[in-house]
Amino acid sequence: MRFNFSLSKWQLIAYATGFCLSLPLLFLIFESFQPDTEVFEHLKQTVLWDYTYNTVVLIFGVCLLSSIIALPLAWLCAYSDFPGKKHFEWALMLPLAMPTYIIAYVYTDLFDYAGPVQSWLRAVFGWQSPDDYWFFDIRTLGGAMVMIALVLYPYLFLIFKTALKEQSYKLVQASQVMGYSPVKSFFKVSIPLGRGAIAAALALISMETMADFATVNYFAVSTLTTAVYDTWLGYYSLTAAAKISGISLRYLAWLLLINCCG
Amino acid sequence: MKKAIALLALLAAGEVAAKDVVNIYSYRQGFLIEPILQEFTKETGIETKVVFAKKGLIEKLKKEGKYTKADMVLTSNFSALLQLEDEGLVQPITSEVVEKNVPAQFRDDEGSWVALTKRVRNVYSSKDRVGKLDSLTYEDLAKPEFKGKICMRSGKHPYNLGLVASMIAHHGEAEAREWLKGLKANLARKPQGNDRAQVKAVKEGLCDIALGNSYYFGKMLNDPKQVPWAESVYINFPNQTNRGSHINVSGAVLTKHGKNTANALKLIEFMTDNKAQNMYASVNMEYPVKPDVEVSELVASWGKFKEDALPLTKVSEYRPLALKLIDEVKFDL
Repeated sequence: MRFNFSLSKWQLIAYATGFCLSLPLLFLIFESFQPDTEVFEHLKQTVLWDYTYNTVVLIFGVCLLSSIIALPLAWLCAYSDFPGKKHFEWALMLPLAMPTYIIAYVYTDLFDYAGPVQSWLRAVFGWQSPDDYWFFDIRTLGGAMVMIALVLYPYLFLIFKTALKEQSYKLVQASQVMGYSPVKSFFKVSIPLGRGAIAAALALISMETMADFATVNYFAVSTLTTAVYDTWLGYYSLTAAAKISGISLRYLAWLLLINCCG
Repeated sequence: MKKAIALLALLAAGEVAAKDVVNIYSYRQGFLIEPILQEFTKETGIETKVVFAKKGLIEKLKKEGKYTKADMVLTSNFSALLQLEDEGLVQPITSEVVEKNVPAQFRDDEGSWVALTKRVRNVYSSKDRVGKLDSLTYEDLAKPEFKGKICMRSGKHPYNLGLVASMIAHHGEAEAREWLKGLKANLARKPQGNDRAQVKAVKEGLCDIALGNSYYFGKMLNDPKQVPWAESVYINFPNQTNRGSHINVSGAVLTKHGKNTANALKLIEFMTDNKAQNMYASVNMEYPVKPDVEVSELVASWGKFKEDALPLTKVSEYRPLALKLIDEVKFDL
C-alpha cells in the first residue's frame, strides 16, 4: 500500500505524457470522421489506388533492397573476420545520418541526362540524343526505392548484427559441422533465429519509408504522403487529407500487428 | 496626477510605436519583396515584418483567426487571392489611390483583393529543333504532332491549374478533358521540377517544348549558369491569332483581423504606385498592373502581345474542376 500513491502519481504522469503524444493522432482520427465525402470520393474514383499502389510497392521494394544489403553485411560483420572489419562495422551505419533527399539530389545530378555519367557516355560512344541509347531514369518509383533503401538499411544492419551476436555461435558451428556451407547456415540457421529482429527492423524501415516526403516529391512519385499534402493544399480539404492519413495509419497498424503476432 | 499623465503618455507612446509597423504573410519571395519594403519604410517610416513561406500561410491565417498578427497577405497567384476571399479572411481595400492605379479587371469589385503584377503562361520552343511558334495555341499542344515533345511541371501547380481552368472556361469540361488527355499523351516525361527545369530539359534535348511563366525567361538570362538554357529557346505567346495568352496575377489582400490595417493599406497603395511597380518590372521581369508603367527593357524585347480578356474570377471558378480533371486523367502519374 505504501507504494500505491507514488505508483499512481507515476501512472498519472505516464498517462498524461501518453495523451500529449497521442494528441496529433487523436486529432487526425477525429478530423477523418468529419463529413467530406465529395473530395475523398473523387480521389477514390481517380488516383487513390495509384497512390496506395505506389506506397505499397515502395515499401516492399525498400524492405527487399534493405534486406539484400543489410543481412549479408550484418552476418559478415558478426561472424567473420576480414581486413578493416572494425571500420566497416561503424562506417556501414553512417548512411543513416544522411537525409534521403540529399542523396536523391546527388544521384539525380550524377545520373541525369546532363549529369557527368551520361555526358561521358555520350562523349565516348558518340550518341547525340536521348533516343540513341537507353539509360535508366532515376526519378522514378524504382529510383526512390534505391535512394530510401540506401539510407535506411542501417536499421536492419544494426539490429540484425546485434541479434546475431547475441545468438549462440555454437548453433552456426553445429550446423556447419553437420555439413552446412556458410551460405546455407546463413539462410537455414541465422535468418530463422533472427527473424524477430528482422521483422522489427523492417517495420521501422517501412514506417520511415511511408513517412518520407522529400524524396518522393522530388522524384515526382505520388504516394499517400504526397497525396495528404496535395489534398490539403490543393483541394483545401483537411478532412480528405486526414482520411488519406487514416489509410497510412491503417497500414501501419497492420504492420505492427503482423510484427507482434509474428 | 503627474504619474497618471506619465502613464498615459507612455501608453500613447506605445500606441504610436505599435502603429508604425505592418505585418505581412508573403508567398512571394524575399529577394523580390525586400527591396520594395525597404523603399516603403524609407518613405513612410513604417516598419515591415514579413513571414515568408511557399505554402500553408492561408491555412495558418485561418487557424489563427482573430489572434493573427498578419495585416496583409501577398500571394504569387490568383487562386490564392480568391481562396482568401472565399474563406472570409479579408476586409475590403478601399482606396482611391488603388482604384486610380489598378484597372478594374485587376481588382475585386468589392475591394477584396488587388492584383499587383501580371505574368503570361508562355510556351518555350527549342531554337534548333522547333523554331519560333508565332501562331501556336494552347489547344495545339494536345495535337499528335507534339507527341513526346513537351515538358512541364506538375499539373497541380497553381500556374498550370490556372491554365487548365481557363481552358474549361473557354471550351467546357468535356473538351478540356480531351485536351488534357492529349497534352498528357504528348509529354516527354512525367511532370516534375519547376518551370525553369523544363527549359533546361529543352536545352538538354529531352523535349522540344516547355510551358513556363514569362518572368522565368528574364531570370534565366540574369543567371550566368542558366543563360545557356534560356538561349536555347524562343519565348512564344500562345493564342495570338484568337483570344490571347493566358495570364495570371500576383496580388495582395488586407486580412480581416489585422491590427495595423491603415499601415497595410498604405503599403498596398505604395505597391500599386509607380516606384514599386517599376521595381516589380525590373527585379522580377513581371508585367506591371499600372498601365502607364513601362516594362523592363528585356521584357519589352519579347514583344507586345494580346492578353486573354476572360475575367480572372471566371478562371478561378473553374479551378476546383481543373484539379479534378487533372486527377481524373492522372496527369501527374
